[in-house]
Amino acid sequence: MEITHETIGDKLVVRPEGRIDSLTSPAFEAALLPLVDRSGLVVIDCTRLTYVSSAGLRVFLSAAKAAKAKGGKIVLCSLAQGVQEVFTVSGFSKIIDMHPTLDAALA
Amino acid sequence: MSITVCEEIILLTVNDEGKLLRWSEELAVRAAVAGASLIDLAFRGRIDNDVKELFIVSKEPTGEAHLDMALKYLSGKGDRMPIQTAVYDVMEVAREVHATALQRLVDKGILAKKDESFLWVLKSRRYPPLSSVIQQEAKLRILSVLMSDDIPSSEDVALISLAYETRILELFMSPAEIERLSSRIQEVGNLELIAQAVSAVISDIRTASPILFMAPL
Repeated sequence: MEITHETIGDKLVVRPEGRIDSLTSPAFEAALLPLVDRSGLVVIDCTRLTYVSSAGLRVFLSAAKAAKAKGGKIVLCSLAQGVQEVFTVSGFSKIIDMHPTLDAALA
Repeated sequence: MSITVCEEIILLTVNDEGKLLRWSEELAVRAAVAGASLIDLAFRGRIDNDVKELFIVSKEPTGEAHLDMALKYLSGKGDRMPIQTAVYDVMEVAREVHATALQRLVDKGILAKKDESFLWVLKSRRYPPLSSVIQQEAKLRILSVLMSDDIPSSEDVALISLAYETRILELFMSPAEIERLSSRIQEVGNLELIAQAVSAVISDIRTASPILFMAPL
């Protein structure tokens, strides 16, 4: 998978692309956690995310935990229906804020 | 010293005298062992799952005998299956997985193994903790997560969800405490999809055979 990022205002926007599963989650984690470490508020734009498995969910959990430990947080936006379902069924939506669009997440 | 989620959940079922939950009456322990094994295998990249299915990612042994037992058995059932099916499948070997994990706890010096003759005929086996530190640390971690709004680690999510669904929490938390923290327990427990499947399996078993789910002793 590919991951890009940019800073918009005081927020770091991270854009993963493709699948986050047991094969790609190590790379996703290796890329995401340092970004979380350096930025208080990280917006993960999921527009190009096509699939998330439990392995992927654990990376999001680690990132959310790391952000909170630093007094920050991660938020997600623009989740496709199938990806949204995983987060909803697992109750992640109760611990990580989710927004329908990037603008809403940046507001 | 690192121990697996499976070993940790078994450790929580051992009391100070080294007595275990009575295996023959506790399908809950079997479900907990199955769920914990699957979660351990997921942590090690051997399996993965989404909301519908569990799939084998790698059949390469982990080097941990109890997990490899579960992995080998599950691999023989197919490469993809509904998560609940995977839980039921591993429950078929949970007794052997449990025994192997228990022996590993003895080998690691966490538990002792004491066979006792009784009236020269009956024997009982106990597993008294050699040190209560690891067991107590697990209980404290669980309580710490449940009594805070901290975001838990994946390992703590696994332990809490399995301990709750299999009533192992009742071994060290009062019913009133569990009731008071029930929404937090649910919030944490739902974060692990395999644990959700264990919950569904236990619910099915309870519905079919309520007498088989006695309260832990």
